[in-house]
Amino acid sequence: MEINHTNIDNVPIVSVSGRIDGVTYKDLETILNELIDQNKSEIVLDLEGVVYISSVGLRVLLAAQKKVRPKNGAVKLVSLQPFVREVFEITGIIKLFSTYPNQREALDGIRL
Amino acid sequence: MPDAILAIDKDGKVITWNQAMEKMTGARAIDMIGKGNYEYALPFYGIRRPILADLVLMPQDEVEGKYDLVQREGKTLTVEIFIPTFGINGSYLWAKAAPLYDPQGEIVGAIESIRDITERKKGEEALLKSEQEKEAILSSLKNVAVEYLDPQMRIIWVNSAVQKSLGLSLQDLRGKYCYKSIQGIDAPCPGCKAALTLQTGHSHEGELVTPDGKTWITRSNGIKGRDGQMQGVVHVAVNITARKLAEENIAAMKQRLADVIEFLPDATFAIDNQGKVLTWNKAIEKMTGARAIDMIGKGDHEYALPFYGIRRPILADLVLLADEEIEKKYSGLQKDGKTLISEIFIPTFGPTGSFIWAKATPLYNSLGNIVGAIESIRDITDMRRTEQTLERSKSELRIASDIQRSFLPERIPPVSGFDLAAAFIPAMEVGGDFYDFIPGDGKLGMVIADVSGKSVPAALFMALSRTIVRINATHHEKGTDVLEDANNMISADSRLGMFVTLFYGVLDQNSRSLVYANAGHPPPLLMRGRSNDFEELEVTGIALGAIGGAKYEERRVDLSSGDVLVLYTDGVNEALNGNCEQYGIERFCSIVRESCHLSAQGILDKILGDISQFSEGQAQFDDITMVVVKAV
Repeated sequence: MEINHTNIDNVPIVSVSGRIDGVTYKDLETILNELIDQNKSEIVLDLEGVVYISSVGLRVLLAAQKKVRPKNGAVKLVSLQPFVREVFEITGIIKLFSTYPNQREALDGIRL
Repeated sequence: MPDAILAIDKDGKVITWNQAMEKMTGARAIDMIGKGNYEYALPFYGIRRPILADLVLMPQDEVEGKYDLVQREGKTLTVEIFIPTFGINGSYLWAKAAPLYDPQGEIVGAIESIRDITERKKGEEALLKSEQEKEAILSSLKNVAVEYLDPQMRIIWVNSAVQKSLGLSLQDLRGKYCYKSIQGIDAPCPGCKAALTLQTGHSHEGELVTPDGKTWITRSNGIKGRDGQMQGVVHVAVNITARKLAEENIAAMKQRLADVIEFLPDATFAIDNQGKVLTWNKAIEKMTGARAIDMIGKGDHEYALPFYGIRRPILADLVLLADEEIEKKYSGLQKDGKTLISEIFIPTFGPTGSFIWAKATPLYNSLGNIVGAIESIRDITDMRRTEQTLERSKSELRIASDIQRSFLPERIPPVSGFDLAAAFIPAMEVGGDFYDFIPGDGKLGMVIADVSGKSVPAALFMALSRTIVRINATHHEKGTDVLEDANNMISADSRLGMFVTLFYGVLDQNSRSLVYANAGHPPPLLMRGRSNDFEELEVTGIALGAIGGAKYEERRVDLSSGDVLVLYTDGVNEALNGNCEQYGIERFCSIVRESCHLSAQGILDKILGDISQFSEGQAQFDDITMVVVKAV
């Protein structure tokens, strides 16, 4: 798994690629927790390069979402690959996230 | 004692036979006087023959060439001969004979005086022999140079070793200055012991480096005459250049070895076979706080103090003991040849005691004799403590695993018209999957679930979820109520984003149906016996714990004989092979279709076998859980 972290208009954009599973989830969890600790409530998570996500990966995203929600924030998911989308859909957890086809629309959504 | 004398006249008759002669020969004068025909030879030779006196009377040309030993001086003859027949073991005799003249100067006879010189001769021979032996001994000293020098350091004699090394004979060297011939210099070598002896009159010895770069051990002894004056000096020198070089090499090697030991990461020290510290490196200084300068050269088990607080033998000492002694006293040691390894706990070392690993091995000299021992010490306290902790958590995990397994139903409660089988194979000691059966009146509740995450956190959450679902299933009639209440309870306890996907279905033996609600769980597969087609028991709500207040829908399917229902977790379809390919739903369906004629347990075994064959021994990375229901 690889994680890149940039900022656009002060909104953190975290791009992940590879597998988010029981071995790799810790790195993603650490980065998301750091951003939340810095009071970033809007986080764009680009999952275009993610080929697999396990239930632990879902838990990390769900935990982040649960932490930013009370601050009127949101973790926004971008470019879900079919397998990843399926996992979100089966578990129903997709209902707890907004999803976007690309980073631009996710950022526009934040501005609105 | 006067010489024995005899005289003969021209005819060879005895005219004189003195008292000394009587004593020497035992023949009396009265028996001898007047006797001729070589009577006088009998006492000496036992036969009649000419003696020296006869030669005096012979013409000179007759004597010449016959008697090599005879010396002539005018008419006087002298000889030294050995007569084997005279005396007990023969005798050396000196004889001198001269003519007797009458007043007219005519030779009228001969007179001979005889002296027994046996004693002197033997003494001389012995002296010669001892001189020869001495020379032979001194010359046989191939590696020792022996010189006999006069007071001016001119060579009187040198042994063959000196001659050979210079390629010169004794004749060439005799009379030459020692330093000139050997070193080619014009004055004695600085520090020369022979020069010193000549100067002081005393013996001197010591090491000497000559201008040609060789190193010698030399000794000089003065030779004094009767008057006490120095007559010369005997100078003996052994070339120790090679030995010196070897010693220097050894010293250099020792230094290099010491340097290496100094920077070894392990605490290391060495002792000689008297137990004195030879080296004490940086690492052991750091470990013990004892400095090398305070340790090196110390014996009497000084090195044990930093560890034990008392003087006592340690591993390096044991290396120096005989094998049997070690066996007898320290049987717990690991042995590898002469190397000893031990692991002990030293309560006196470190604030709370320390686990110490030590390895000691003998040091040998070039002859293969043990001359000391070297010991390396490692503080493995952290490692041991970590291992202990790890061991403890391992055993805790085993206990957790046992507890978790005890949550699973021991056997499946029977429900008529349905054949059931179930399996749970965790990827680690404990897992996040579970299945459960809740019996009712003519009904059987079935639960299969997958908690997000793995290992202990998942296991704890699984225990919580299982209990909550079980309690709600006993209280509520409707599956939707079960899941909604369970979800609200779990959500309230899930701050870390933990959630559980869960399928809850109730088999009804009377209506031969299944009523279910699916909280985000991978849809169970239902293979219809009549068509061998598959249906999916779809998701009817969000995973439990994700969000409070979620709503769930309920579905109902009727089951006919031959229908096969498989509840599973994603560890089944997401099992990987060596090429990172997933087992997948299609392969899953194929094996169910192929084995649908078997019992529920038979189908389950086939599926597990197929997954194991597919993953080709790859490590299982997620829990595998299945419940198979066959309508009979």
